Amino acid sequence: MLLAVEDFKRLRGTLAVCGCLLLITAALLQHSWNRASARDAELERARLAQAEMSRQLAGLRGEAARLAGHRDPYDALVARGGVGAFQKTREIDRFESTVRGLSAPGRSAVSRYVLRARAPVPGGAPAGLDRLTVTMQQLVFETELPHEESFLRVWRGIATGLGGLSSIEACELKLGEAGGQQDGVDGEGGKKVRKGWPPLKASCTVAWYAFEPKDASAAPGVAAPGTMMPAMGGSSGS
Amino acid sequence: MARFGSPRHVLYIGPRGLIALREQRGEFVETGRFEASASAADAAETSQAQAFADWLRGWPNDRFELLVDAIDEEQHADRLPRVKGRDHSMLIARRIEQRYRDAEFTLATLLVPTASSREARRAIAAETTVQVLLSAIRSPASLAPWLAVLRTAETPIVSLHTPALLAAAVAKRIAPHESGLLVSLHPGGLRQTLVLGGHLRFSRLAASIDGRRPEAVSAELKRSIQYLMMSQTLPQELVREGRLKIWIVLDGLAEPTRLPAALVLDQGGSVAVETHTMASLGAPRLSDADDGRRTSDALALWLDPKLRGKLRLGYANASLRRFELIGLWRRALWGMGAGAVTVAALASAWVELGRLPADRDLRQGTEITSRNDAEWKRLEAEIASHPLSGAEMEAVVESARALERRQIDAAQLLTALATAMPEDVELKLSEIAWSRAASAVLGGGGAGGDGSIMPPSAAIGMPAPGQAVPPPGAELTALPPLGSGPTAGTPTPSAGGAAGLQIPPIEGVLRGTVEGTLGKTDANALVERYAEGIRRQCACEVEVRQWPYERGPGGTWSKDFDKEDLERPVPFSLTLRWPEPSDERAIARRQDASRG
Repeated sequence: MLLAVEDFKRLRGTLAVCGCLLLITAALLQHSWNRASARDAELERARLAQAEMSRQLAGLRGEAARLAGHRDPYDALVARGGVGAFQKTREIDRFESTVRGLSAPGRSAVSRYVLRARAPVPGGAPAGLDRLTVTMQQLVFETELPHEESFLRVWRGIATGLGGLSSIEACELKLGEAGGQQDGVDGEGGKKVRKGWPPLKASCTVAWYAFEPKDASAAPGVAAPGTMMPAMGGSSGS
Repeated sequence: MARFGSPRHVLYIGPRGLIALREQRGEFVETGRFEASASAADAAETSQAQAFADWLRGWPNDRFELLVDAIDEEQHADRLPRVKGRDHSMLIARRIEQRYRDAEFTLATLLVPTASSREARRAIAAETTVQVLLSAIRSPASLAPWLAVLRTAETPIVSLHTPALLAAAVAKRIAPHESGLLVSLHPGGLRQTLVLGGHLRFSRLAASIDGRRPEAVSAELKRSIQYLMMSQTLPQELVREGRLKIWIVLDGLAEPTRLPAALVLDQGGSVAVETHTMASLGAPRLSDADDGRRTSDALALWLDPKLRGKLRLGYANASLRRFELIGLWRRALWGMGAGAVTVAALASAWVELGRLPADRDLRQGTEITSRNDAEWKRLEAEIASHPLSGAEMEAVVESARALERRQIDAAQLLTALATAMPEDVELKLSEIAWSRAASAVLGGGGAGGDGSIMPPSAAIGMPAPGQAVPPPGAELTALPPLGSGPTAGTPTPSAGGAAGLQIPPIEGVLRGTVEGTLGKTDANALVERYAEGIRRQCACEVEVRQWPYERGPGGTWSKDFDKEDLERPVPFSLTLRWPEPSDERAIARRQDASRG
């Protein structure tokens, strides 16, 4: 089947055409390969982008659902003044107003209160609240009452009347010296007070808590913390 | 040989000229007949050669097979050592060179004896030599002028066969593996071919006799057999035993009935004569081009392509097949190029067709991406409208709930303490204090500092958690006043963050007195009863921190019996640790647990 060199010369035209055809073939195959590779790469890119977008969308949906689930109690907390700088004046006014409402004519329900310095809560903010700090404002009020029922009336009144995110977290009851009371009737409870019975001295601690942003710009929508006021005290005089 | 579907011509070349036969739909048609010139030297210059050249130009796309009926074709059987591969080829080439020097067309055929049994096959395999039939067209004078024209016209020649080479295949159709003399009348003369055991051994063309007359044929056959027997080409025992036959193809013979049934030899003995026809031997039809009449000679016997196919190229060498090979190469190159382009085109089409589902997927992906993008923007705007992230908001809400639960219900606590109070008037409470126990308000660690919630255990002189409680009778230090303000205490580890914040228990302290007139045992029992009553009410931990009467240091007792001392109330103190009084279900659970 092998040909002499001179016979191959007779095939020059055919060889040239065949070479061109082979070149065309190679070009076509290369073109097809490039198209296929580009298509595969494009598909892979699209698939990866879609998967990434789906993953991030799932995260966003979860975040939106989480926000929606907590938005109402959060808004309620904001409305109560539990988020943002502690509104000291407003809350003290409210406390004093409550005390006045509990007082009998000529006799204050609370004899004295002391507002302590505002400070971060011990232990700091819980995990997940990196941009917020939780502050605590304590107030200790003292009162002298004829018996436990009148104490409970004052306690309930103050607990109900307090604003913000607050609670009465500690109390101390102590009997005073015997003979300090006269016969009579308790101011609002209508219970008789026997002469010579010792009065009941009470001291309770009220705490207001507030979630304040560490940096006002870091948490949009959360008010910047107010200026820390020095400890102040007051008395509700009779 | 692959024919590639090209039309084929068979050129019969004999001493008297050339006959062109073309295959058309299974039969052959004579398309040209050219007489040989008297002198071979100037044959190319003759009008017949010119006519043949003109005729060739009329079939530019045909390929040609040569059937040469030459007078000077020779066969010689020889034995060669049994070697294989290149050595075999070289040995044969050398033997041909020795035997047929200067012959252009030569051929070597291996004569493999037919073995009917296993022993015979073993004997054949054990032989150290093999029999080879060397054939050659020694002086192709009748062939040369036509080959010159064919080469000049660059005609593709596929093969070169002779009736002698094809005779063994024809004899196989008559009687396989038997011996006989095949006789047929050709345009070139009477061809006699000796086949022994299925293999060609001798062939002769008698061009000078009138082969149409039966008497002339009989005489020629006698002469040939006698020559073959004398030259020992034909074993005499074959004739004596009657195993040699004469197979005469009747086509072309005049008055075939006058042929003898057996040929009686001069030296004694006879050879049976069998008559056959081309039709009975499976030869194709042969018609001339003009009137379609069937020719009267036996030329068609050798035109069956199956006969030539078994012998492949025959005598044709590379020089003879030069233009056929060039044509094959040309066709192969074109085929390769066209095939490659076709494959590439199919690959491209496949790739493009494969794009259709991919494009559909991409379009769908784009639509999904567009939808996702819209949802993305909506969610981003929705999330951006919130002041905090979801995790922060959740932490704030949960923390606020935990802080709200820090309030201690004074009514519940005092009710529990009053209900547990015994009826005896000898026991009185003078001080009650309570507060949350945890130092970390929201479950974190650390305590103390200005304004922090006081650790009750530190405030009321209780041991820190884990610290041993002094037994009854141990000297207690003076309790600090309740509500005296926060002091630094031992940090209490607590668990939980914003989620799962735990509300620290209530810790309280009770101080009171029992009447001094009571005996020590009764006074202590009274306090113990009260402590037990509180435990039942709140299902909480209650400890007697200070008993009314306790042993002094070293286990001594001492008491002054003056009147004032006897009537003076004796103090005691209790501490309690109440996990969560505000939760009634939790109380019930703890009560059940304590009863259990």
